[in-house]
Amino acid sequence: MSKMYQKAVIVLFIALTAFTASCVQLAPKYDAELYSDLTNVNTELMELFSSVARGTHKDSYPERSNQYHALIGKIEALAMQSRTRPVPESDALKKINQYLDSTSQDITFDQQAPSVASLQKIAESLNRMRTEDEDQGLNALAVSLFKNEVVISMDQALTYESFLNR
Amino acid sequence: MSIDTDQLIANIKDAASSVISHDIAGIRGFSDRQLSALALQAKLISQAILSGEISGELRDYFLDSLEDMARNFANTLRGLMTVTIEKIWNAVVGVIWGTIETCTGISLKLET
Repeated sequence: MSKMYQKAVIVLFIALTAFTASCVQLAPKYDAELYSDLTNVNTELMELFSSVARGTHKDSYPERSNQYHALIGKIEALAMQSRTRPVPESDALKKINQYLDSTSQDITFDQQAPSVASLQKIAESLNRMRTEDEDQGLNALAVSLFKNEVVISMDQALTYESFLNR
Repeated sequence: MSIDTDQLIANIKDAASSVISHDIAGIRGFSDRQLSALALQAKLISQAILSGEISGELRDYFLDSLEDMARNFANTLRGLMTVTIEKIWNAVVGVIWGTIETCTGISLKLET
């Protein structure tokens, strides 16, 4: 973490010297509705995992099919909502990235909110889980693995989106 | 009225430190949770491979996923740092402009 903060200090120095004296906005604005929708869909996801915690049999998959599709659709819609937000000060980030590129350090800053990739990963995990459930059923360990994937990615998305509330 | 540069530097340091100390606590908590969860995932994958409870295809999927999630973790950290840099910058500019306004009596409107 300390190395990352050293890099942050370098970037701050670049920002101080490269930009005009004005308030900057380098990340998207906080979207309260998106954050609220994320927390709601997270509850629904945990309800799904709770209902299949002991594993599933493929014969009972039709009972869960709609739940899977509804959740995947909601997650993909949230990823789209996050991706289509305007990202301000793109010139500022470009200048920072130009400097970082010149130092040969692989730490350039993305224009896109990182929560987009995290949400896409959740949709991918659920899709894979759904396919496995339909084809073979799921044992308890496989459910735990899929659940932990979703928990990791949802934590990334929720933490970033709440951090935007500055 | 001239600017007290020592006081200005102290005020800038305070403004930046306040942002950093607040944000670093959140970032550290996030990092700890992510690292624990990624370690748990590695442990569960090993357990599943050893017990033969997942197919080879599913094993490959989980291993690839672990890599994707680690990359997303790093990207999220970078995103959090971007927000922190923005807050530090605005705090520092606010202190400098406030000092100049006080010294000169001229209102300097910050562009937002």
